[in-house]
Amino acid sequence: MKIFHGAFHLLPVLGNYGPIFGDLMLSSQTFKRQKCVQQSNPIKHVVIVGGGTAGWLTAGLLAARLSSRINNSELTFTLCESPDMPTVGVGEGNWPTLRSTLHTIGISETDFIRHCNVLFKQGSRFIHWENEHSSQYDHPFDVPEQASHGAQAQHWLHTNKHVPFSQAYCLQSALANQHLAPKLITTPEYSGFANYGYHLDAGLFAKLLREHCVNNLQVKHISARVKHVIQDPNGDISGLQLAEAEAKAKAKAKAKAKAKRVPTTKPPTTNSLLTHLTGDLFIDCTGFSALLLGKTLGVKNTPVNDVLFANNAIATHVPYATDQEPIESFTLSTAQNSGWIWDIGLPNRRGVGYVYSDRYTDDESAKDTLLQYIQQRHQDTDSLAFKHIRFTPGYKQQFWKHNCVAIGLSAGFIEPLEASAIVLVEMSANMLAEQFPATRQSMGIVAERFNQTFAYRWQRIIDFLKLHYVLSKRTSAFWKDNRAERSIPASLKKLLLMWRHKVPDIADFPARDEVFQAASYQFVLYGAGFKSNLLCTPDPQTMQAAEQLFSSIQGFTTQLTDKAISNRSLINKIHKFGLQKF
Amino acid sequence: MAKLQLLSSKAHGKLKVIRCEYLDPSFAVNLSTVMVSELTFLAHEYPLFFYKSARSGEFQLAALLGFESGQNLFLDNGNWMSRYVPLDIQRRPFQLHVPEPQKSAVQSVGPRSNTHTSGHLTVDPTSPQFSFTKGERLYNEDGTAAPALAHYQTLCSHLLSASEQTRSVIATLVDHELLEAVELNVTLKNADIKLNDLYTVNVKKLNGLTGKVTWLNRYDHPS
Repeated sequence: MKIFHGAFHLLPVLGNYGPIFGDLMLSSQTFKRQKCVQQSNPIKHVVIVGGGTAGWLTAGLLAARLSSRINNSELTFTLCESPDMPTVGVGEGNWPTLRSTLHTIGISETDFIRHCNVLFKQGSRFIHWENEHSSQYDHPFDVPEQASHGAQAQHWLHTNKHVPFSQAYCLQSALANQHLAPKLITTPEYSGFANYGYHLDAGLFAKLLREHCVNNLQVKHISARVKHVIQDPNGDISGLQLAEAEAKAKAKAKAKAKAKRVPTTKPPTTNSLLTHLTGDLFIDCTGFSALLLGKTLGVKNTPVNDVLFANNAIATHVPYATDQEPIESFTLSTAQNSGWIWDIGLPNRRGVGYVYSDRYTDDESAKDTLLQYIQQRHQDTDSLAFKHIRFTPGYKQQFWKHNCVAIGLSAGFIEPLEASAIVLVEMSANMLAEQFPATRQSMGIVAERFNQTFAYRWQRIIDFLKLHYVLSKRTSAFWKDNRAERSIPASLKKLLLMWRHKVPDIADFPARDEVFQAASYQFVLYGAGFKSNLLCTPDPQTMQAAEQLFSSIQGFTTQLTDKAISNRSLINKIHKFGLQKF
Repeated sequence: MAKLQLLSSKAHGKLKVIRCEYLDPSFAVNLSTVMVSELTFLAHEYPLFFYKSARSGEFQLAALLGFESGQNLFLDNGNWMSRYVPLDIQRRPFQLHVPEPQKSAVQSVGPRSNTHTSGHLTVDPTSPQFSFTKGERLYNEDGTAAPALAHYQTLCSHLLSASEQTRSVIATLVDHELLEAVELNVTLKNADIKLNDLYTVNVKKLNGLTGKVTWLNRYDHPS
């Protein structure tokens, strides 16, 4: 009786608990009140703002992993995107993690390859990074067994092999040198004999994800500009006020659908009268603008421009000379005087861009550098369109504040040296799905975990990217300054000190789901000419196993062309025949 | 690689074909594609599996003829050692040339239409199955098809429709994920043989199916 009585009295207070319950007023009475609120405040409606790769990938992963809750009407997902907002659209390289992500979301690999101009990416190649001359090293996706314990690295250092480290124990560099695909037409979807991620057209990818989310995963889609973000007095976001642009956008979409004659796709679930969108949890996928977490909730960036200097990119698409031209399996990264140039091979074109620091060069010279690079393979640069992107390298001081979590560029952005943008989206959405808060009251705990986890991940990514620069012997000011003591994070300095006499192993990377594992550090360190001076002789069993792997890999390398087919020929076959599901 | 010519009475009027003797090197294969329509004959004498075509990755139905590439244990000095010979073996040395459907300029996306209705016989006149002295004539003096050629023409046109039917049955099996990979381990006197890349019907899944058997419907009423 008493409890009921108490609760009855509390009801009128619920609407405006913010200003009345000051943070300092945590008496036993307010505790009871919060308990009452908890029972009536489950997280039921999730609103994702922003419809680029981050928004749709997050929507897809969440809706697929939490589909039973959607089916039971316990949860809804709504994605709101502005019809006239251009996406950055250069997120073209990603990781092998995307295979399991797409599989989870329920998109067939054949459909994905056919719709998004996809190529199999097998790693990254760093050209002229070690020095200005003919140096290059690879960071392949294949990781040999026992690499996390440093077996091969110890063997390689101890036996003084003349074969580059990346080619000593895995086939991927040899595959890439001959433009060979990591799978055959008979290999089932999402598997391969070598590890792979993808190069893709980001715009087409977002479109495919959108169609799949709306048609198959019950994600509601609203096409409207957010005019105003409505907050509760306690700071929580309670809703979005949408602009009237709705009708216009809808008409446009209809006209587009008509022109393309795709009657099979359902029109997005939109409500033309809707001007106000409410939700319990808001996911900010609004890109650089960080409309919710940054602009509304005032979370600031942790800038890292004193560590990673690149703050500009100029990008373009380059056609192939013929439709027979080989497609590169690796993302090529070629060092320049004030940054580096990415080169990403898609079946229909290359995506090329110069990432540079405006402290060391100006836009004009940067464009010239990019033009020179393109002209090495492709004579005509007059018809190319260029896109300029300015950014402040860094990440948010908090990724989750109140009932809002940022995923994608809104959470942070640094140069795409190891294509870490999409994997962070996947990791964020997965953590959100796994630890999805049941109520507003438990959200704070998940938010705290999320913030800790991703602050750690950003720091590790920054360390790893910085490592590439620290190991370089290039001599221009940009590169020299990159090696200055004060620009190197303390955590990286400690690791480098450790690795003078030991190889990177699992003990150096203790977290669950490290973004970069020990093997990645080994590839970059020993690829770039770093030598760990091992003071002890490695264990003979370890050495024997590594020696065996070394010999078998060297043997395989010579017969690769008998077994594997070229990237282009596999892509053509997939367009024609499709891949089998099993 | 043998050079194929389109068969014509003009070019091949005097050519004779040797039947019932298997001399052509193309018979030295350890796998023959087979058709659903001949399964009742094959099942008594051949191990039958599904495999993926190396060219297209598509599932095909096959009789296993040997354990290693080029080994045909059904072949003995030019004689086929079983009562029934698979259609795709019987039709050799003739090959059916089916022109590729006209491709549009745009990259083709989505399921292909595979309904070929006609083709043209091709031959490699240098095959040991052909002769000018031995065997049965392909053409009569007036240039019309002799009984031997008529036999092969019937065979090839039957194969064309049989392969459409087979494709449709396999597509249904694949759609319902009724195939599973098997590993074949054979112990011989002096060697253990392991064969991968073979598939068979998952009987448990097949028995677990509910509802109508759609592929039977499908080829009773071709749409």
